[in-house]
Amino acid sequence: MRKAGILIGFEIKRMLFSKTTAIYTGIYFINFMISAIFFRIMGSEGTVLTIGNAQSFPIQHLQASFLFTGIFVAIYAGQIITQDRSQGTIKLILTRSISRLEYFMSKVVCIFLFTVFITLLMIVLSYVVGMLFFGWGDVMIFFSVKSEGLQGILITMLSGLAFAFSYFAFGMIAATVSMLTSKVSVNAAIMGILLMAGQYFEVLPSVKQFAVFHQMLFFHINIFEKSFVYNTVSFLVLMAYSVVFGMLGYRIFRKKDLYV
Amino acid sequence: MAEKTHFPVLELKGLTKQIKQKTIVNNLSFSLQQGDIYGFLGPNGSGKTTTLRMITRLVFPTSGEIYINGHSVDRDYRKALSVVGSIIENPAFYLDLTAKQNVKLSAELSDTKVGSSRVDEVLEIVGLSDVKNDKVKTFSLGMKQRLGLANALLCRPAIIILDEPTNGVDPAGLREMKELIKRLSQQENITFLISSHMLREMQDLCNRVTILQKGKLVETGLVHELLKDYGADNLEDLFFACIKEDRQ
Amino acid sequence: MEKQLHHDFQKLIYQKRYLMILVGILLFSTIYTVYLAQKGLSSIEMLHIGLSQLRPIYWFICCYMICDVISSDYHHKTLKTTVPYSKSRTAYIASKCVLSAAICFLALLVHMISSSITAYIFSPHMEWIVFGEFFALASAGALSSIFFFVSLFIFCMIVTENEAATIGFSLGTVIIMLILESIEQLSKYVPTMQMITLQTTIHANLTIGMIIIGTLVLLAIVFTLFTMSIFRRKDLFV
Repeated sequence: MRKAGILIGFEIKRMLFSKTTAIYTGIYFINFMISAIFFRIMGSEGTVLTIGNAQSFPIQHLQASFLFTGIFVAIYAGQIITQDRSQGTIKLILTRSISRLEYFMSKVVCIFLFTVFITLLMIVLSYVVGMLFFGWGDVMIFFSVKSEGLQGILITMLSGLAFAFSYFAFGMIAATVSMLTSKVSVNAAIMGILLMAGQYFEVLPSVKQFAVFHQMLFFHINIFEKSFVYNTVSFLVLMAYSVVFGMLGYRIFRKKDLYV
Repeated sequence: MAEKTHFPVLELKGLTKQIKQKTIVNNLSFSLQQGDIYGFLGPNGSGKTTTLRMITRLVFPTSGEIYINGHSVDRDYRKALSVVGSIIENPAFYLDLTAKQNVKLSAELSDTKVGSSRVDEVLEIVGLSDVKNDKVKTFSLGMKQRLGLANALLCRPAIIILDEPTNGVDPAGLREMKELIKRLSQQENITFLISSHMLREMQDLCNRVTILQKGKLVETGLVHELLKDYGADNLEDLFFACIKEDRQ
Repeated sequence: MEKQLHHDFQKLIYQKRYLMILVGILLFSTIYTVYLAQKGLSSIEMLHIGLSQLRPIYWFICCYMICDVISSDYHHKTLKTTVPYSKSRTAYIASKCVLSAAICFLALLVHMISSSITAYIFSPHMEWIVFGEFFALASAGALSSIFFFVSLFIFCMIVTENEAATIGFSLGTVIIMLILESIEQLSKYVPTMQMITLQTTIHANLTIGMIIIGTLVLLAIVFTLFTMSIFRRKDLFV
């Protein structure tokens, strides 16, 4: 597992300093600026914001970034799986007596860390934009949750962690799809279309809790709004997606001939 | 120096690779002894690179076994691959990293402990010390080949597998590479398995050859003995004689 | 440029995935139009609603197709083969722009024609003048937006030389525009809406409609020329 740790460290460094991260930062920033500007002009009718203060800004934007974050997670998962193959650098790693399991697990951990990173990035950028436009504010309001100060920040972080976990499950689906494609753009397009179509699960009340798309939209909200039993089921659903697609992805990768 | 062993460094037994209905490698068996420099020859599409990929576990055989230092590549790959250095087809590197960073990454991923001094040492050996802090994307093909060789030498392996290592290398580099291979083979007891089309260079370098055609073993043995058996003056004549005989 | 375009076009023909995309759009358009026809809508209403429904996914598909065309040489490392074969680097960029725009517009045409034919079968009393106007203005709106996006995405690809960054940028841009569409005051100016709002805009105010199209085309030209100037002098370590 030492080698998996080295691979993870290597990927994290690349992720933090890559052009794609810079682009994601720019896109989120523009999105939050648009939201803040239109809240100032038109109030809550024009945006997802119901309360205009920095405390509430990040947590309110998590759900709204469904498409963005989903696409970015899909691109990252596709990138770390396919680029090593297309550039041939996978042979640099696998000929060093690293098992395919270690290699695959390092990618899984990287996807999880990326979802946490991108959520944190969103939260930090939101705080910045929120402060610029509205100031800190008196109280954080998010559905039935009211809090302030450090507690508000902790609630935001908890919501963010739940959010990251649901996107990790989606990232495992993207990673499995990328085992079968050779280009990042194909993977991104497939997952993007799945994201758009997946929102229609909301019209099926009996199955929506078992759709990963529903969890991506609501898990970080339901941990405050729904019962413990409901949230446990949701958590298990996400675990199931992560484990099943993780195992499927590994099964495909384990015996794949690498003509690199 | 590589440890002396009483079993072959590399042994292939009945190695076969089939993709759909096509047989790429067909029941290939041969072995390499320690310290040998083995030429792995064959026309284009004869299955050489596929065989090398199977040895390094990038591709899985349909049937057959591969043993490196007595360890099965299938069941005990960690021990098997820990003594292997390789360049398979074109050497691949992270283009946005420097030469030194790429080699350092390989060092960190190795089973044997490799210090920073060894990284500098291998870059010195292959003549890339001056450009070690340049990004690999600015390297020529020959420089990438040298970097690939540096990578292969890093962990003082028992066996080094080189697939077309002289591709793009300049004449001075070619001479240096040949001298290096001979020196490592004699002094360090390292075994080399080299696939190349440059038969004149291979004749200078190799003491044993294996010739493949259409995935099958056509001939294997000591170079001087085979030259005598076939009445050939040089490796090129031997190669064509073997291929022609097989066609007949 | 003709040789380069011919070369790129041949590559496109050999790849089945574009055919699959077009067939997928054809099937969706036909089935959805049949579904709308059951609701008793007029043919022009069917075409409007069909285009509105397809629109968001259409732009996602366009992002993919544009990024695929412009990044293929980078992905397959054939840039060093293709660029010397091309008459000039400018011709290379121009060819990529034209081809990616053409394939996106072809996808739209497949939808419009298949849904028109299906609508006509179920509702033969089509007013051809109204249909013609709808077709022409939807095409004009779509084409100007397509050129704008193509120029933007190819600029990103040439500057970053990174396929993942380009697809991330392209999808992110389209999503931002889909968000801006929800704001009523802005929606008629957003490029992704032009294929359905241009007709209304021109009827309300011809000048504004022409300004919107003109701005998109001008921005497309500026971005393309800027990209060409960068690419002409760029060192290609490929």
